Amino acid sequence: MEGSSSNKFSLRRLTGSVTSRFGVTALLALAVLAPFLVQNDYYIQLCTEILIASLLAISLNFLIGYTGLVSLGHAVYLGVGAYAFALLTKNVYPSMWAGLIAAGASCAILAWFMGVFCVRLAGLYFAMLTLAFSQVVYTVAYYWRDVTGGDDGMLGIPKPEIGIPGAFSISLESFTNFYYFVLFIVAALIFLAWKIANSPFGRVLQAIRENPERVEFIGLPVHRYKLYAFIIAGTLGGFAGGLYSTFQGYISPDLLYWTQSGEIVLMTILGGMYSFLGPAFGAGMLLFIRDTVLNFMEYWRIVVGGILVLLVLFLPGGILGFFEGWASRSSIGGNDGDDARS
Amino acid sequence: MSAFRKKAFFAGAIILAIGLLSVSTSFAAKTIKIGVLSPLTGLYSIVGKRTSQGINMAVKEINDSGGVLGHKFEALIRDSETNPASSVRTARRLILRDKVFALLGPLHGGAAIAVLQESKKLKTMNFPWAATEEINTKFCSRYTWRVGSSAQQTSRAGAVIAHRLGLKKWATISSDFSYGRSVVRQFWNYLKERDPGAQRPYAAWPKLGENDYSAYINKMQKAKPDAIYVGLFGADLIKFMKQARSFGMYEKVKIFTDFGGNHVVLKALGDQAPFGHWASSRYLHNYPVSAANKRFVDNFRKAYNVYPDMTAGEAYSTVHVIAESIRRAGVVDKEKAIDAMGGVAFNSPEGWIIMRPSDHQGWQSSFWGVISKSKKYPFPVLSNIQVISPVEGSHPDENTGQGCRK
Amino acid sequence: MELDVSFWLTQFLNGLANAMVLFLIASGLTILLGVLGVLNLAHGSFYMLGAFLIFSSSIIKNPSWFWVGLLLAPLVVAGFGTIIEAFCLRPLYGRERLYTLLLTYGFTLILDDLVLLIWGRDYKSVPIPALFEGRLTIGDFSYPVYFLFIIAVGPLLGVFLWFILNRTNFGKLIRAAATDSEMLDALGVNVNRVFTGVFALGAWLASLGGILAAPMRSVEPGMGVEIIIESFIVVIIGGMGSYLGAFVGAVLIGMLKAFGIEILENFAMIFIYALVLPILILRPRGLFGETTI
Repeated sequence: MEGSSSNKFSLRRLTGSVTSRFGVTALLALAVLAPFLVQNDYYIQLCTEILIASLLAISLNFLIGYTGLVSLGHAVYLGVGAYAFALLTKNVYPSMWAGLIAAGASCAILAWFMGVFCVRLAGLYFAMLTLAFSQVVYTVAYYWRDVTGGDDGMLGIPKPEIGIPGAFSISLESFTNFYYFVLFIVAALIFLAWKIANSPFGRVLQAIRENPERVEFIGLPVHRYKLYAFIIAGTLGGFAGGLYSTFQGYISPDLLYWTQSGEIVLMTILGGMYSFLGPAFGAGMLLFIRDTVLNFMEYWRIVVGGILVLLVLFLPGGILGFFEGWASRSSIGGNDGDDARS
Repeated sequence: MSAFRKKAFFAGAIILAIGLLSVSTSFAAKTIKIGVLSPLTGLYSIVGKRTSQGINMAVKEINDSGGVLGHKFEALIRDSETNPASSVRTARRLILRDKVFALLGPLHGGAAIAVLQESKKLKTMNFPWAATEEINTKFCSRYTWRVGSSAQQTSRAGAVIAHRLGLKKWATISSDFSYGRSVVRQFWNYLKERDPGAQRPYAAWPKLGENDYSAYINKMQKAKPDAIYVGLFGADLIKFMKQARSFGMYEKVKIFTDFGGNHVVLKALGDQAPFGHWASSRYLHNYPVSAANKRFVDNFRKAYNVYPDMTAGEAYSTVHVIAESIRRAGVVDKEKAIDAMGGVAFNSPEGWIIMRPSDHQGWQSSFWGVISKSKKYPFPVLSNIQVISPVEGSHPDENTGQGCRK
Repeated sequence: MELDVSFWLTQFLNGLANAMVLFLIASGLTILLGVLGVLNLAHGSFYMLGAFLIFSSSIIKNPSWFWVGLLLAPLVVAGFGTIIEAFCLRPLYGRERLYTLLLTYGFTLILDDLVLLIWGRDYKSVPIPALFEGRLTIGDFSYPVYFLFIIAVGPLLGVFLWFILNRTNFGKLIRAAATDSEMLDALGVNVNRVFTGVFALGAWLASLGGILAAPMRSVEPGMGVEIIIESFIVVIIGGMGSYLGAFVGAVLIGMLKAFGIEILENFAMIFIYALVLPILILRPRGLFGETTI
């Protein structure tokens, strides 16, 4: 989990490659047109789920790709955000915005609390502490039946309509409306994340990943920067949790279990942790592959697992990382050879 | 560049493979598709294969006899992973993408409740196999029906037997989730109602999927009960029984297991089964000795070379009940089939099942028996079978069916 | 009061039996982390493979089935581990360690289905070996012999591991690789071979855990998921790379599970984390983390 020599090659990716402007425009256009292209409610809601998972994976990449901190407990934000949204909209006040703010805010506070302890550690120890924290929250959610419903989870989480009271309101019950709502929120948050990533602050984070001692030496408070990154990642993850809660209408402690955290790491690495949109791409790939394979064959795990193993062995740098590398190689002339391998 | 080309080749190959997989199946005209959430993996995978077999057999029978109103049945069997989130996702896919006529399963209590909310929203009939009582009370809707037994029926029947035997001091153990709590609550409340003197010094609630019950068994022994009531399900029950046996529980107390009469459990336990103790099963291959049951068991053995278990029987009956409702409606229409569902009667292998309009529950008898060695079968079976009438399991309750007409 | 003594003693032994299975898995996991720096998610799958192989062995209707399985199954799994390490893991050592996480996760998925393809979907039940049937009874106290057997195997393997690591050439190489594998490489030692050996040793230990647990637990795909998280916690408590730490950690977890239900019946798991968090915060390297192996 320590940095390796592939970082040189990847730093360029993070700050944007030649293809990114065209790619992002195309991607956004595709996202806006998606409901017309797929023409089926099921695929509209699959796209909605992919959008939410994308936000989640990008939020985690603030830690993995940018700061070099591998968190194995990111599902804690998915779960806490989801429960916060559900508890608020079901028991207090059914408002979409209040629910989402509750999801983000509760995770910001949780991330701040956890972060104080976690950022002092590095490498595997950091990974372990995040894992342990998330398992604590899982255990509490699992056994605190009165509030969380225990293993049975919470049902009937609403999709409150949005709008200005008295003036207009938009129902989010239809799959298409809800898709556009999620697209709006996710795009806005990803744009915000991109702004942060490319700000001077974001560059300091990358410098910390490359060489924390040197950053410390320059006189920058490394721990505090790491803590900020931790809180940003957690808050964005919390929003994803809130969206997931209203999207599914049903949540259970499984959302907080360590396998869920592992899945988010998987999406991130699969898509490419050294590319800003890589994790989103990985999220889309994983959900799409699983959805397809699960419904066409009985032994779907062996296929998904096989694809994973092949990707790791033959596509270092993730899927998007690979394609970006391809694109930049053909535009530069392919002289920088095989640096992803090293 | 050769390494690069190799990578490009692999990327291409993977994308091609995914593309090929997503080519959709052809849509045959005049078919009635039923979506099935079968526990092929996860905690209840012990019965996943039999569930699928039961479904396939019923579908084959219906199609061989010419289908229903000229339509063939087609079963889309999917893995529920015995997990709520996956079950909901797959249920949505079956309803929205595959446009199934009805949705069968899942078996896991939590997953069943999550899925029935979804099928209500998407207006599709859902037949959960979970016995959780809330399915016919607060979570019931126009779209939710249950052909399989409810916890109310089997657990109350267990209380009737327990009362007959005059056992006073009880310990209970069941998984800490909706179904597990439902089973024990129904048993205990009904026993208390009949015998106010019954006491329960210890109730254990291990988590679903617990591996090691030894600490709970030790606490049970300390409470010195006359009998224990075990509400564990699936592989959990087998783990518990094996451990209880090593601790000598078989000799010390009377054991009642709600799920322990199921053929796959008895077959798995084999010589380690709790002989002489009481167990129930929602369907039995050796009882009742009727023409319908004999035909079912014979055909099942011919097709799969195994005996049908409880889930096979319930899955089989569910498909036939759906077919019956379409016949009654006289037209292949989701809503009309629901209108015709109340009062559907089916001569199932376990006896007549009548779909009760008030709470959408299939009326049926419950069976309890003593686990015994058998000369006829190479595995333990239930003998001394007690049939408890459905009246016991459905005593008037103001909550029953409160949501079913919504 | 007589009864209470036997109650507490039983609970203590229950905790110990639980701990020994955990120890077998955690000890492999911890050495792998210490030497290779690899968090092997497929470690739980080796545990599962051990259990499935002992099931196959139990079909032989011969009293010696258990011993044949106990001897051969771990060797088969270790061989399988060798193949995975040599062909799939080795190319990844030069890269980010994260990729090994992804790879081993891929293998957990593959192996879950592979056992279904090989062994089918019917439920697998492994009997208790005839030698260990029954209970040991002293007065009021009575305890299953098979659990006592598990409790005895743990320390035996602990001593065996200590011997390998401290008294053999292979052990010296392992310890050297854990401290500085590049130096070892420079000295002309084939480090790859050491790594493969460590991986195989880990797989061997995990499958032994699966074999011991099989007669008491269910043998099914996915059985590795729960055990790997508990073993991971054991590793955290004991300290990465310390097999003594793994032993102590496993005993602590076992005791907390056995006695925790006396205090807060449904919250017993919380005690485990109440122990882990302070250790990680105050002493991130775990109780025995300083001494590398």
